Amino acid sequence: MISFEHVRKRYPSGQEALKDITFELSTGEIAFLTGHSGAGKSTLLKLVALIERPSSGKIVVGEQNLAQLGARDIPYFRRSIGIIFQSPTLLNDRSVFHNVAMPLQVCGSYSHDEIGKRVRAALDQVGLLHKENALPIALSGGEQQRVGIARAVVGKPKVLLADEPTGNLDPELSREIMDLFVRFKQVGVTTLIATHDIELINSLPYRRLIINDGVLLEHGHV
Amino acid sequence: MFDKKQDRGRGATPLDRSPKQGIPERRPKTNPAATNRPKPPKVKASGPRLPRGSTGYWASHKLAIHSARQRLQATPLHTLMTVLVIAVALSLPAALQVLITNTQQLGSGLEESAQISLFLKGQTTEGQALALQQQLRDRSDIAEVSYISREQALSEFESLSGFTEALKTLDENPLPHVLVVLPRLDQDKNSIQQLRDELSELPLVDMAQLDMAWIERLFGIIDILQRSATFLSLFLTFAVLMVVGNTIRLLSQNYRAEIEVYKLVGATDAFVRRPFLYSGLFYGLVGSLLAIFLVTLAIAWIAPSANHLAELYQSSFILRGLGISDILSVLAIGATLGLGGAWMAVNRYLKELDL
Repeated sequence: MISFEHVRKRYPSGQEALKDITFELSTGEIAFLTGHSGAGKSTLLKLVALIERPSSGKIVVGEQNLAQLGARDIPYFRRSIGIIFQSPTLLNDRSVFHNVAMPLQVCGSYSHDEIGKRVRAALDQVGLLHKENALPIALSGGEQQRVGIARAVVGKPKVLLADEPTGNLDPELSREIMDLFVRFKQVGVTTLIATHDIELINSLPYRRLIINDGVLLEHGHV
Repeated sequence: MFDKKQDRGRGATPLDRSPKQGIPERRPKTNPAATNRPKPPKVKASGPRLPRGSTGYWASHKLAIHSARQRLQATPLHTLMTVLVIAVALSLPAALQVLITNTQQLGSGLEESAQISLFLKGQTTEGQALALQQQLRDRSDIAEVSYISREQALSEFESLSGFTEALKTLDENPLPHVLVVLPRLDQDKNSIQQLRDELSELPLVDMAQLDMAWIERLFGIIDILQRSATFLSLFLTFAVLMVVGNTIRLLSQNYRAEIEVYKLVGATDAFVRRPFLYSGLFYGLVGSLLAIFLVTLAIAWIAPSANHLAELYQSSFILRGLGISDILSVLAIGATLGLGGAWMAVNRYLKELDL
């Protein structure tokens, strides 16, 4: 579902963030991307989401070779992936409902009823249906992160990218978030989670990709 | 209304669960953005290559108008100031246009009063003069020709000038026969000039005189006014563009977080741009409406004195305000400038963000 072939990324500043990365994730797989801060985890996720372009190498997401997508195709590609950030980047001028509805609004092809149905289904899945009218600022950190996850999955993406999704949460909440990802895996969502929560990684039987100084050190199942 | 196929691939996950009753009834009222009722989707919406221009096109415009309104309402004072600046900038050229139209009206009334005096050669007989009068009357570009015989002219001159005694000392009438030609009303000053030149070539005509010098001066002034108006309009057009551009730029910076989220969840540039374009359109249209109002107000204030002055001159002149076409063009220019300024600003901002 996601494959990297000899991918390099060098920033205009000369910093080499990724050096010759090759790996492959199959459909419905969950993988942890770990490594110290600045090792290149975020860069790798940005390459998958087309926020950055690789300097060289080939990235394929789904059936799509990302090099073939022009700037005009990026929005349509992004609708097939869900992105979750460490800070959930929710907008505080609108309710939880409307935050989650944003990915559906941009498509322009959902009716009002359809949007309502899907948003509530996504909120229900993260256990926040009762908070749909609340403003994000009134929610706890864990709840905000779950709203962010609801927003990422509301468009039913095939790929989920999560950048430190449990970074601000205590172990119990982290575990709840991970349970959500496991549920998405069961319906075929491929998930790549950047984290350095070693405890969490060790408690789950999923593949890990360790990046050190832009080089992929180890990959395989535990 | 919608088939379940939209939800396939999710199997029996909680995503398929119907929402609780009651809540869906309440939401549309409290959330205007959610009241859009587009046609049912025909396209499966997720997936990398969605066809551009989808079924919910109008829905996305409604959404854009809604968020444009919210953004303008969030900074009412700034919105008001922007609209006022645009109104003032647009009302100046509009007022000048009114001034020009009215001066032209004044000028055209005078042009109609233009007449050509044909002084006939000394040896011309009355019969020849009358024949020429008839001949000229048949011309299509001449409305009327009146004949003033030399005797008539002399007695007129006597009674008007009071030089009766002096004239009596002359043994011969020094005045020629005169034909006074009134050109047709629908001609401009160039063709009247041409007519004069043509008439002066006639064998019987000694001299053809067209006294239009002061009308020419008036037209000269109108020309200067018109050029200044064009120049000023260009300047002010540019100013409006900059004002709108700057305002929209500030506005888009205020909504940076929102723009970023929208871009990351797959919004096209057009989607992000749309609310700002509506904001710009709003600035331009409301600004030009206000400009029209200001100019109309100014004319209403000036009109009584102008019309009174015209009465004193026994002129049929009536101060004219903005016509329908003037109003429409002010609106069109305002709208175009608003849209253009917004377009430039948002495009630059999107390029800067580069998401």
